[in-house]
Amino acid sequence: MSSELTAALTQLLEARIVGFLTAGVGLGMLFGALPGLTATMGIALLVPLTFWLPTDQGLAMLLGIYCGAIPAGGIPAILLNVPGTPASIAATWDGYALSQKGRADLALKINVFASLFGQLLGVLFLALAAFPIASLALRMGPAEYFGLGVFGLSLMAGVSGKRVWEGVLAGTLGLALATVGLDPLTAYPRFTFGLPELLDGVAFIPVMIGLFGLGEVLAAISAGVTPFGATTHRSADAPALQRCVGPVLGSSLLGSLIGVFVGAVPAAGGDIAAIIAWDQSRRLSPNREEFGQGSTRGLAAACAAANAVIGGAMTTMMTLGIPGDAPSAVLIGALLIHGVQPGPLMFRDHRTLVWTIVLLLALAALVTASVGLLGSAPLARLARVPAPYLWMAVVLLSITGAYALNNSLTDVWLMFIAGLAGFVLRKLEVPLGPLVLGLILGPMIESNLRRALVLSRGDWSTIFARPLVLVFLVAAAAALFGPVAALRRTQHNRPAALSR
Amino acid sequence: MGCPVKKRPIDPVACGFAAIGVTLAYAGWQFPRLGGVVPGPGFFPMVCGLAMLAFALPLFIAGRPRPVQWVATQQQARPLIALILALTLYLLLWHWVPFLIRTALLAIVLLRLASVGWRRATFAGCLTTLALWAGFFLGLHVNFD
Amino acid sequence: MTLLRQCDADALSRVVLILWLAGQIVLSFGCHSTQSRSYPSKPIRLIVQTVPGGLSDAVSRVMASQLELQLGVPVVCENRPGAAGAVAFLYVVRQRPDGYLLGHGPVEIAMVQALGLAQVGPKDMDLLCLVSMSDPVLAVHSASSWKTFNALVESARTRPGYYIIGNSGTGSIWHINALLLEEATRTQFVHCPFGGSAAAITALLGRHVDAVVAGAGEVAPYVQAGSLRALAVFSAQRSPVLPDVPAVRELGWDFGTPAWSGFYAPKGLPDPVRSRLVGAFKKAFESEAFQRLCRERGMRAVFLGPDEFRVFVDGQTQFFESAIPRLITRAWAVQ
Repeated sequence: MSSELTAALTQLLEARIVGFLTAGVGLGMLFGALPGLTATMGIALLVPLTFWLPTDQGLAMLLGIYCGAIPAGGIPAILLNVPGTPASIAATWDGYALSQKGRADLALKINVFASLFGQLLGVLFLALAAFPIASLALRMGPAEYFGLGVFGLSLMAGVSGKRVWEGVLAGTLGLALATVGLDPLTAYPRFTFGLPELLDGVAFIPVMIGLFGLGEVLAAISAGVTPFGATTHRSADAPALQRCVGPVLGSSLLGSLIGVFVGAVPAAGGDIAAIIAWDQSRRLSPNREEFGQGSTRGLAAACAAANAVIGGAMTTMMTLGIPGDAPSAVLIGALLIHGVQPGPLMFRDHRTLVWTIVLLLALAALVTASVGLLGSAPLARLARVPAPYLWMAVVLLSITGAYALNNSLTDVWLMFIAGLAGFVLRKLEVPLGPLVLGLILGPMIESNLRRALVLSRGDWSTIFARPLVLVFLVAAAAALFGPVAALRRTQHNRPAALSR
Repeated sequence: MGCPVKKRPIDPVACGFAAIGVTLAYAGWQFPRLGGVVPGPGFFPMVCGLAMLAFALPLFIAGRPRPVQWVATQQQARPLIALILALTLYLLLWHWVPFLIRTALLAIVLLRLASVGWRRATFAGCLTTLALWAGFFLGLHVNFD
Repeated sequence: MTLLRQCDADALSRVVLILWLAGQIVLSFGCHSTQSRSYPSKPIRLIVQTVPGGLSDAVSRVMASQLELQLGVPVVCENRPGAAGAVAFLYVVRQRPDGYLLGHGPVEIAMVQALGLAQVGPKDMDLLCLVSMSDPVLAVHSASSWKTFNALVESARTRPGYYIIGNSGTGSIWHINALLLEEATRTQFVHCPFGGSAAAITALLGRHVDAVVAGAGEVAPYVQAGSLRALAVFSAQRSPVLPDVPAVRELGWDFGTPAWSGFYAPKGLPDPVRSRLVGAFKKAFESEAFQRLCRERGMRAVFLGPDEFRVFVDGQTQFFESAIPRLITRAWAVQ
């Protein structure tokens, strides 16, 4: 093992590899920071470029994109409330609130540190515990995915704030929207109104951009307040940073562990990991009411989880040859073209390459963090740009981002409609977090429940007899009824609470 | 939706979601059932619809007044409506007006609505449009026309 | 200070406006002048019907990079996914047939109409060439008791409707092949659709399903790693990527239909443009980069020119138009 490690290390010290890695990180940060452009897309677009590079240099570039894009997705989430990648949805909840309080610099720095922490911990798991994690991931069948989906869904009560019932309704609306398109099992078209563009369902990224980007601009204009951009601005000085070291470290650790597990599970990625981590860290926090109002813990948990997914997904990819999330699916294709088959054989035939990947990931995490740290102060100044210019930037980025995803005008219309709906729902005090949660988890829950029923030949009882499914469902019940019970207690004690 | 208890305000959110729920459940019922033991395409929409109906009930019973203030003052109504109209027009003209022209115009209109001066609006609008065009079209070959 | 800034903004705004107008003028000139010059004189767009990253995308991007060398202009891939490719097909056939917009045409161009997804098909297209084929393969877990294809058929006959075959999605080419297997061997399986072949293979690795039908290139890595066992290739000849696995024809059966990759343009392409394109495609097909891609991803490199491709596609369309309604209704009735 040590000889392969040293071989990999000496390979890495080549200037070209560091150069390609840094170029990849830079490109990845661009893809991550622009809403609508995702890490997956960045990797896929650059794979052909790496055909003509040696394997290690090509990989350095692709892994750089992967590691650079996810933390950079948090930048627009914090500054503009528009998630740069799906993985940074949860980062908007506390990051944007912090930014509005004039703490954009602090929020960006927490994003950098928590992301670095998550990526490094993920890599550590990849290096030390790849095979145990992978065998756990393989035990996840359709029934288990259904359980995981229901657990994820139960968090919608947690992300609703005070409006639990409105939140649950919005979540159900998200689930219903997710049924648009071809039925995953029978390919029967549902609610498509004869439009071929809707056969694949409501595209999730344009909806997300519309709800949080355009919707926020409309709401801000109607309220006549400065929407983005704080009136005061404080840079993150040493005392401020010191104060939040403890909570941030604890939350990052929790978030990273959740991220590694969710990342290792195929078909669940950074978006789900970050939401689960945010909610779990809220549950364990001494001051829960801070969450969603600018909690450093919440932000750290969300960012760490989104980034620890990289390590988890790479674990599944390298041990089983199965993609752990969307970007790693594209990476498999890239490795194949370089003559490397990800899977158990990789650990036998390409041991040096395995260590190269581990070290490249760690190096990419460090490069990303240093770029992010250098950039956080100038970027935080963006929060002070006069509001009208930020509105314009958000509206134009919403349009271009929605289009660039699939080169589809339908997606831009979808973004526009989602923006209007986001505005109306905001005014009616219906929380939007659960809606997105339902839209993400709907396909996972529905298709896997029905798939599990196909496998059990229509027998419901065998699904609930599986131990892992039961664990998820019990956790889901606890998560769902906890907040409802808490709300009832407050209602009971203070009847005026609901009517404000 | 039943008869509201007297003096209780009707919650538009509860009613709206209940209506969507009923529609969904009905639509789900209409989908073909496969005749077998496994649920068909209508199963999940139906469950969603019924769940929505059930979750709307507590809100309906609570009957919380929901004063919706669409705009803070009359002054904000004009830019809001103008922006929505401008965006609609922008999308309708997508195939007819080149990206650079329509996007620059949208940006300028947007900034003017927020009472930015003509010169600054033109400058910032054109610059942002050019930057987007350079990044997406020249850099990524995304064709916006 | 404020005045100074105002002046700056003033001057700069003028400069930007002039630059931007100049750009517009140059662009419009560029568009006009190209029409008089010989083909090709401006970038070509190649519409891919999937998201970036899949096999269709890889074929298109390698072909595009080789076409660039042949034609001397950039060939840019544009992904327009949706409805098994129908969104992209509909988009391409509605564009001007000037040779500056092409499409990647997979087996789905012969299927979407029969599947009822959209009213578009090969008759609306100017077919250019076919470049590769992927054979369907039936695979089981390596710990499974089935060592041969005929053993699996025997088991399935004794327990109809018991064993589960995973596929990449209802109505997908691999699902159709699993249904063809049932029809030819007079057996009955439970078909479980997944979101793509990777997910179906994952389920097989976790032993949540009994078998999977997927492309040879998708299954081969796991067979070589020893985690899966391939029982048969649904074709007349063996697959180059799995030379030890028998073709069903050798075992006395005759069924199976491959997936393939080709290229097309909107209908009405001028003849000189078509011959220029087909020549370039032929050179690109022969390139080492494309041949290597075929080897790595388990595809058979097969080249068919416009006329042979048309004959082939017409046969495929007829086949799917009769097979899909027959097979899918049968599958629904069983479930």
